[in-house]
Amino acid sequence: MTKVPRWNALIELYNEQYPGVEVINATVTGGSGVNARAVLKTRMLGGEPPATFQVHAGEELTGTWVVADRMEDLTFLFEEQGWFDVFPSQLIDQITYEGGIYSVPVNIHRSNVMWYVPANLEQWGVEVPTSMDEFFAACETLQGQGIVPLSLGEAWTQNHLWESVALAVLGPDAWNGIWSGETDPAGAEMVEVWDTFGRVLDCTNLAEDAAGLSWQQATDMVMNGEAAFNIMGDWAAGYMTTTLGLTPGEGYGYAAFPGTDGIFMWLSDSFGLPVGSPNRDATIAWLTLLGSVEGQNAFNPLKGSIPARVDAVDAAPDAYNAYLQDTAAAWADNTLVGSLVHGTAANERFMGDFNQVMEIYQASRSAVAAANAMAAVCIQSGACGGGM
Amino acid sequence: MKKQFTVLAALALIVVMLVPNFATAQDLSGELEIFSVVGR
Repeated sequence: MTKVPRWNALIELYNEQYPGVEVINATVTGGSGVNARAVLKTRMLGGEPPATFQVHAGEELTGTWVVADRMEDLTFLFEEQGWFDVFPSQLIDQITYEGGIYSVPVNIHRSNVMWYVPANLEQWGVEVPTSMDEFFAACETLQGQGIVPLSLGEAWTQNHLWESVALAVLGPDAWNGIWSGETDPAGAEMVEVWDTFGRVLDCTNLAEDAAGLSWQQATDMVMNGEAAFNIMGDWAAGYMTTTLGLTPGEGYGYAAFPGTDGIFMWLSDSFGLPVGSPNRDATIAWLTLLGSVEGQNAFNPLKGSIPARVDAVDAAPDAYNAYLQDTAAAWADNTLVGSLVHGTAANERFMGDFNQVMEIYQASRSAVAAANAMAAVCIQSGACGGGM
Repeated sequence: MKKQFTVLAALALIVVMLVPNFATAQDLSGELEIFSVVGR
């Protein structure tokens, strides 16, 4: 178990309100939640659920624990707290299953963000690319100077990169079509996604040391001037601002992944109430705090995310830095699509098997083989329009 | 006398309204295990 600073603000707030409750922060780090989900599964199936657990809003929740009748319906809490008026309807849709609502969203993160250091780009004579063509041109310029164009880390960060590339190639409608069954996962568009992804990988440190790097170390490569760009969700902004002490727009720059400007690939951290949760009343009090303006504003500025509630930023605008203010504005105007890698778009079965698709691609570098493998995973998991 | 009674009644009402909230906060006890995915 590890104490984690960004949760501490919320836990301290909870302890002020409920001093009689001992909060145990049971955290399993790493692997984009893969390790934590494995431990959670053992406990849930063993009849020993934690009081509450963090889960991404979307299919990671509904397609796994809700369909298995392991979560309590929280509609009563949404009604009591007036949350139907303050959480966006698309977000509520993602945590709803057969009329019930199953978790309390704490925040919104953006997946398709490209990070860089403005002064370094100027020194290397590179502009921020806004299209894939511009990205590949910048890649060539940077490689000519011995700079890694795009830093990459361990396996899940490669999946993370893939979803931004796929969004750039497909656009929002065809991306959503993968999950609704309207886009053929083995079709020509998807082959182009894998081909483009391969070209992007050739601009990274994959062949050198990527597999051994955490996402923070991949971010550090950009900050240290070893690499020009990194693609990561905007928890990286929390890392660069809170941990590294950098100012957004000066110490680090940000832009949508090339070809995805105006599209917001989102994910949301949320907490649910497992059936059989020990200390149910204390858990409901925790969930109530998470959904409050006070709770969301205690957590999000440190995490580097925007509140899930639409009224929270206005209640404390000074708490949100330039990056988060820009992101809140983008959340309000952009076309919204769900993240695959972070649990919004597809169920856990698909995500587990998608790792094998990625391994097949990296071993073979065959776009057709990868697209066919993905189509097979769609059928096995039922994640792409109910078993196409 | 009537005024005093009104004041007392108002005070009693305030106490009745506050006690449940106070009691709710104070009554919660035991452990709350929060299982988190962090570090990505």
